[in-house]
Amino acid sequence: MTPDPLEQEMLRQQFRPLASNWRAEILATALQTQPGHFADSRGSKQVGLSGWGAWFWPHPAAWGALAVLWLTALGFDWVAAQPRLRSAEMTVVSPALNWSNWVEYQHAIPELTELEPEIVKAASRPRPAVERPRSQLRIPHNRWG
Amino acid sequence: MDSGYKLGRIYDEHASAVAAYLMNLTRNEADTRDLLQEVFVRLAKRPELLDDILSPRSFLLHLAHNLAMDRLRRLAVRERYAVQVRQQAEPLFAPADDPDTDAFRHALATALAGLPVEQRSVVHLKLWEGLTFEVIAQLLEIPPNTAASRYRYALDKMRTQLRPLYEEIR
Repeated sequence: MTPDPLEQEMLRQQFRPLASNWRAEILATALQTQPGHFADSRGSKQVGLSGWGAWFWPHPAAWGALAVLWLTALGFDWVAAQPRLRSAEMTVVSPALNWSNWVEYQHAIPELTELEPEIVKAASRPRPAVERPRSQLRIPHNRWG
Repeated sequence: MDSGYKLGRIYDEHASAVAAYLMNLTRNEADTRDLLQEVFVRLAKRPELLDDILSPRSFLLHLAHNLAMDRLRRLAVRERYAVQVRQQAEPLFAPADDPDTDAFRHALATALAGLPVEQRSVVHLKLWEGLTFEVIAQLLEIPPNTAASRYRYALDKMRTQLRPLYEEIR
Protein backbone atom coordinates (compact mmCIF):
# COMPACT_ATOMS: atom_id res chain seq x y z
CA MET A 1 0.00 0.00 0.00
CA THR A 2 1.60 3.26 -1.10
CA PRO A 3 0.98 6.24 1.17
CA ASP A 4 -1.06 9.06 -0.30
CA PRO A 5 0.38 12.63 -0.42
CA LEU A 6 -1.19 13.55 2.90
CA GLU A 7 0.37 10.50 4.58
CA GLN A 8 3.69 11.40 3.00
CA GLU A 9 3.40 14.92 4.32
CA MET A 10 2.61 13.59 7.79
CA LEU A 11 5.58 11.27 7.58
CA ARG A 12 7.93 14.16 6.87
CA GLN A 13 7.17 15.92 10.14
CA GLN A 14 9.81 15.77 12.79
CA PHE A 15 9.07 15.04 16.39
CA ARG A 16 10.51 17.16 19.15
CA PRO A 17 14.04 16.04 19.99
CA LEU A 18 14.74 14.48 23.34
CA ALA A 19 16.00 16.78 26.07
CA SER A 20 19.75 16.33 26.28
CA ASN A 21 19.82 15.97 30.06
CA TRP A 22 17.45 13.00 30.03
CA ARG A 23 20.09 10.57 28.80
CA ALA A 24 22.41 10.88 31.78
CA GLU A 25 19.58 10.98 34.30
CA ILE A 26 17.66 8.04 32.88
CA LEU A 27 20.73 5.85 32.41
CA ALA A 28 22.03 6.67 35.90
CA THR A 29 18.69 5.74 37.44
CA ALA A 30 18.46 2.58 35.36
CA LEU A 31 21.99 1.47 36.26
CA GLN A 32 21.37 2.08 39.95
CA THR A 33 18.53 -0.43 39.91
CA GLN A 34 20.56 -2.99 38.01
CA PRO A 35 21.21 -6.29 39.84
CA GLY A 36 24.83 -6.51 41.01
CA HIS A 37 25.16 -2.78 40.70
CA PHE A 38 26.99 -2.48 44.01
CA ALA A 39 29.44 -5.16 43.03
CA ASP A 40 30.65 -4.03 39.66
CA SER A 41 29.94 -0.36 39.33
CA ARG A 42 32.62 2.25 39.61
CA GLY A 43 32.79 3.91 42.98
CA SER A 44 30.88 1.12 44.67
CA LYS A 45 32.19 2.32 48.04
CA GLN A 46 30.57 5.67 47.42
CA VAL A 47 27.31 4.00 46.41
CA GLY A 48 27.49 1.82 49.54
CA LEU A 49 27.95 4.87 51.73
CA SER A 50 25.12 6.66 50.02
CA GLY A 51 23.03 3.53 50.61
CA TRP A 52 23.72 3.77 54.34
CA GLY A 53 22.94 7.45 54.13
CA ALA A 54 19.61 6.65 52.54
CA TRP A 55 18.89 4.21 55.37
CA PHE A 56 19.68 6.60 58.15
CA TRP A 57 18.49 9.77 56.53
CA PRO A 58 14.77 9.73 57.42
CA HIS A 59 15.28 10.16 61.22
CA PRO A 60 18.92 10.92 61.99
CA ALA A 61 18.16 12.20 65.51
CA ALA A 62 16.28 9.02 66.38
CA TRP A 63 19.09 6.84 65.08
CA GLY A 64 21.65 8.90 67.01
CA ALA A 65 19.62 8.62 70.23
CA LEU A 66 19.34 4.87 69.74
CA ALA A 67 23.09 4.60 69.26
CA VAL A 68 23.73 6.59 72.47
CA LEU A 69 21.27 4.35 74.33
CA TRP A 70 23.06 1.25 73.12
CA LEU A 71 26.47 2.58 74.09
CA THR A 72 25.17 3.51 77.56
CA ALA A 73 23.70 0.05 78.04
CA LEU A 74 26.96 -1.55 76.93
CA GLY A 75 28.86 0.66 79.37
CA PHE A 76 26.60 -0.32 82.28
CA ASP A 77 26.90 -3.96 81.36
CA TRP A 78 30.69 -3.73 81.31
CA VAL A 79 30.81 -2.01 84.71
CA ALA A 80 28.42 -4.56 86.22
CA ALA A 81 30.47 -7.43 84.83
CA GLN A 82 33.70 -6.36 86.62
CA PRO A 83 32.97 -7.74 90.18
CA ARG A 84 31.65 -10.98 88.70
CA LEU A 85 34.85 -11.36 86.70
CA ARG A 86 36.99 -10.71 89.75
CA SER A 87 35.17 -13.30 91.87
CA ALA A 88 35.35 -15.77 89.04
CA GLU A 89 39.09 -15.21 88.85
CA MET A 90 39.37 -15.90 92.59
CA THR A 91 37.47 -19.19 92.46
CA VAL A 92 39.46 -20.59 89.60
CA VAL A 93 41.35 -23.68 90.83
CA SER A 94 44.70 -24.37 89.39
CA PRO A 95 45.13 -27.68 87.50
CA ALA A 96 47.90 -28.73 89.94
CA LEU A 97 45.52 -28.42 92.88
CA ASN A 98 42.91 -30.46 91.01
CA TRP A 99 45.43 -33.24 90.43
CA SER A 100 46.46 -33.38 94.09
CA ASN A 101 42.79 -33.57 95.12
CA TRP A 102 42.26 -36.47 92.82
CA VAL A 103 45.28 -38.36 94.20
CA GLU A 104 44.03 -37.75 97.74
CA TYR A 105 40.58 -39.07 96.78
CA GLN A 106 42.14 -42.23 95.34
CA HIS A 107 43.93 -42.85 98.65
CA ALA A 108 40.70 -42.34 100.58
CA ILE A 109 38.68 -44.88 98.59
CA PRO A 110 39.73 -47.96 100.64
CA GLU A 111 38.79 -46.20 103.89
CA LEU A 112 35.43 -45.29 102.45
CA THR A 113 34.71 -48.87 101.37
CA GLU A 114 35.58 -50.12 104.88
CA LEU A 115 33.05 -47.74 106.34
CA GLU A 116 30.31 -49.03 104.06
CA PRO A 117 28.77 -51.76 106.30
CA GLU A 118 28.34 -49.20 109.09
CA ILE A 119 26.63 -46.83 106.70
CA VAL A 120 24.30 -49.56 105.43
CA LYS A 121 23.40 -50.59 108.99
CA ALA A 122 22.57 -47.05 109.91
CA ALA A 123 20.42 -46.64 106.84
CA SER A 124 18.40 -49.84 107.48
CA ARG A 125 17.46 -48.89 111.06
CA PRO A 126 13.65 -48.20 111.40
CA ARG A 127 12.68 -44.64 111.61
CA PRO A 128 11.23 -43.40 114.84
CA ALA A 129 7.47 -43.17 114.66
CA VAL A 130 6.15 -39.79 113.90
CA GLU A 131 3.80 -38.37 116.47
CA ARG A 132 0.27 -38.11 115.10
CA PRO A 133 -2.86 -36.42 116.38
CA ARG A 134 -5.19 -38.64 118.40
CA SER A 135 -7.83 -38.64 115.71
CA GLN A 136 -5.44 -40.32 113.30
CA LEU A 137 -4.29 -43.04 115.66
CA ARG A 138 -5.19 -46.55 114.46
CA ILE A 139 -6.59 -48.87 117.07
CA PRO A 140 -6.22 -52.64 116.47
CA HIS A 141 -9.56 -54.49 116.01
CA ASN A 142 -8.90 -57.22 118.52
CA ARG A 143 -8.61 -54.67 121.32
CA TRP A 144 -12.41 -54.63 121.78
CA GLY A 145 -12.79 -58.25 121.33
CA MET B 1 30.19 -5.96 27.20
CA ASP B 2 29.76 -3.41 29.98
CA SER B 3 26.07 -3.17 30.81
CA GLY B 4 26.23 0.61 31.14
CA TYR B 5 27.71 0.91 27.69
CA LYS B 6 25.14 -1.52 26.27
CA LEU B 7 22.28 0.40 27.84
CA GLY B 8 23.74 3.67 26.55
CA ARG B 9 23.92 2.27 23.04
CA ILE B 10 20.29 1.12 23.20
CA TYR B 11 19.31 4.57 24.44
CA ASP B 12 21.14 6.29 21.59
CA GLU B 13 19.55 4.05 18.98
CA HIS B 14 15.97 3.84 20.20
CA ALA B 15 15.16 6.38 22.93
CA SER B 16 14.06 9.11 20.51
CA ALA B 17 11.56 6.84 18.77
CA VAL B 18 10.23 5.42 22.02
CA ALA B 19 9.91 8.89 23.52
CA ALA B 20 8.06 10.18 20.43
CA TYR B 21 5.63 7.28 20.72
CA LEU B 22 5.14 7.89 24.43
CA MET B 23 4.69 11.60 23.85
CA ASN B 24 2.08 10.90 21.19
CA LEU B 25 0.18 8.67 23.62
CA THR B 26 0.44 10.75 26.77
CA ARG B 27 0.99 14.28 25.42
CA ASN B 28 2.71 15.03 28.63
CA GLU B 29 6.44 15.58 28.85
CA ALA B 30 6.76 14.56 32.50
CA ASP B 31 4.83 11.35 31.88
CA THR B 32 6.94 10.64 28.80
CA ARG B 33 10.13 11.06 30.77
CA ASP B 34 8.90 8.87 33.61
CA LEU B 35 7.76 6.14 31.26
CA LEU B 36 10.96 6.24 29.21
CA GLN B 37 12.91 5.92 32.44
CA GLU B 38 10.73 2.99 33.48
CA VAL B 39 11.49 1.26 30.17
CA PHE B 40 15.23 1.57 30.77
CA VAL B 41 14.96 0.62 34.43
CA ARG B 42 13.22 -2.61 33.41
CA LEU B 43 15.83 -3.22 30.78
CA ALA B 44 18.63 -2.66 33.30
CA LYS B 45 17.02 -5.03 35.78
CA ARG B 46 16.70 -7.78 33.19
CA PRO B 47 19.24 -7.15 30.43
CA GLU B 48 18.72 -10.67 29.10
CA LEU B 49 15.31 -9.53 27.80
CA LEU B 50 16.91 -8.20 24.63
CA ASP B 51 19.15 -11.21 24.03
CA ASP B 52 16.73 -13.26 21.94
CA ILE B 53 14.78 -10.36 20.46
CA LEU B 54 15.06 -9.86 16.71
CA SER B 55 13.84 -6.28 16.76
CA PRO B 56 14.83 -4.36 19.91
CA ARG B 57 12.87 -1.34 18.68
CA SER B 58 9.60 -3.31 18.51
CA PHE B 59 10.27 -4.82 21.90
CA LEU B 60 10.95 -1.41 23.45
CA LEU B 61 7.84 0.04 21.84
CA HIS B 62 5.82 -2.90 23.17
CA LEU B 63 7.17 -2.31 26.66
CA ALA B 64 6.55 1.42 26.38
CA HIS B 65 3.03 0.85 25.09
CA ASN B 66 2.11 -1.41 28.01
CA LEU B 67 3.57 1.02 30.54
CA ALA B 68 1.77 3.95 28.93
CA MET B 69 -1.54 2.09 28.93
CA ASP B 70 -1.10 1.23 32.58
CA ARG B 71 -0.38 4.86 33.29
CA LEU B 72 -3.42 6.03 31.35
CA ARG B 73 -5.62 3.54 33.16
CA ARG B 74 -4.26 4.64 36.50
CA LEU B 75 -4.85 8.23 35.61
CA ALA B 76 -8.35 6.92 35.37
CA VAL B 77 -10.94 7.52 32.93
CA ARG B 78 -9.32 7.60 29.59
CA GLU B 79 -12.06 9.84 28.25
CA ARG B 80 -11.32 12.53 30.80
CA TYR B 81 -7.62 12.23 30.00
CA ALA B 82 -8.33 12.44 26.29
CA VAL B 83 -10.26 15.66 26.82
CA GLN B 84 -7.40 16.95 28.89
CA VAL B 85 -4.99 15.98 26.10
CA ARG B 86 -6.97 17.95 23.56
CA GLN B 87 -7.11 20.98 25.77
CA GLN B 88 -3.58 21.07 27.16
CA ALA B 89 -1.54 19.13 24.62
CA GLU B 90 2.18 19.80 24.83
CA PRO B 91 3.90 20.28 21.48
CA LEU B 92 4.49 16.94 19.81
CA PHE B 93 6.52 18.08 16.84
CA ALA B 94 9.63 20.19 16.62
CA PRO B 95 8.98 23.86 15.82
CA ALA B 96 9.56 24.64 12.14
CA ASP B 97 11.03 27.78 10.59
CA ASP B 98 8.47 27.75 7.80
CA PRO B 99 5.12 29.08 9.13
CA ASP B 100 3.11 26.79 6.84
CA THR B 101 4.96 23.72 8.05
CA ASP B 102 4.57 24.94 11.61
CA ALA B 103 0.83 25.39 11.09
CA PHE B 104 0.55 21.92 9.56
CA ARG B 105 2.47 20.38 12.47
CA HIS B 106 0.22 22.11 14.92
CA ALA B 107 -2.90 20.92 13.08
CA LEU B 108 -1.49 17.40 12.82
CA ALA B 109 -0.76 17.29 16.53
CA THR B 110 -4.28 18.47 17.28
CA ALA B 111 -5.79 15.91 14.92
CA LEU B 112 -3.75 13.13 16.51
CA ALA B 113 -4.79 14.24 19.98
CA GLY B 114 -8.41 13.99 18.89
CA LEU B 115 -8.06 10.28 18.11
CA PRO B 116 -8.76 7.57 20.65
CA VAL B 117 -5.48 6.32 22.10
CA GLU B 118 -5.90 2.90 20.43
CA GLN B 119 -6.10 4.49 16.97
CA ARG B 120 -3.36 6.98 17.76
CA SER B 121 -0.94 4.20 18.67
CA VAL B 122 -1.64 2.31 15.42
CA VAL B 123 -1.20 5.48 13.33
CA HIS B 124 2.08 6.27 15.04
CA LEU B 125 3.49 2.77 14.65
CA LYS B 126 2.37 2.52 11.03
CA LEU B 127 3.33 5.98 9.86
CA TRP B 128 6.41 6.93 11.82
CA GLU B 129 7.80 3.52 12.70
CA GLY B 130 6.92 1.95 9.35
CA LEU B 131 5.76 -1.30 10.94
CA THR B 132 3.49 -3.75 9.16
CA PHE B 133 0.03 -4.48 10.52
CA GLU B 134 1.22 -7.94 11.55
CA VAL B 135 3.99 -6.49 13.69
CA ILE B 136 1.69 -3.79 15.05
CA ALA B 137 -0.83 -6.48 15.93
CA GLN B 138 1.81 -8.45 17.84
CA LEU B 139 3.07 -5.34 19.54
CA LEU B 140 -0.35 -4.17 20.66
CA GLU B 141 -1.66 -7.69 21.22
CA ILE B 142 -4.61 -7.27 18.88
CA PRO B 143 -5.63 -9.09 15.67
CA PRO B 144 -4.00 -7.74 12.47
CA ASN B 145 -7.41 -6.89 10.98
CA THR B 146 -8.20 -4.75 14.00
CA ALA B 147 -4.90 -2.92 13.59
CA ALA B 148 -5.65 -2.29 9.90
CA SER B 149 -9.20 -1.09 10.53
CA ARG B 150 -8.08 1.21 13.35
CA TYR B 151 -5.54 2.74 11.00
CA ARG B 152 -8.14 3.29 8.28
CA TYR B 153 -10.66 4.88 10.64
CA ALA B 154 -8.01 7.12 12.13
CA LEU B 155 -6.69 8.21 8.77
CA ASP B 156 -10.17 9.00 7.47
CA LYS B 157 -10.77 11.27 10.45
CA MET B 158 -7.41 12.97 10.06
CA ARG B 159 -7.89 13.48 6.34
CA THR B 160 -11.17 15.22 7.01
CA GLN B 161 -9.47 17.52 9.48
CA LEU B 162 -6.20 18.12 7.67
CA ARG B 163 -7.08 18.15 4.01
CA PRO B 164 -8.30 21.77 3.86
CA LEU B 165 -5.10 23.04 5.42
CA TYR B 166 -2.98 20.66 3.40
CA GLU B 167 -4.63 21.75 0.14
CA GLU B 168 -4.11 25.36 1.12
CA ILE B 169 -0.43 25.15 1.97
CA ARG B 170 0.54 22.70 -0.79
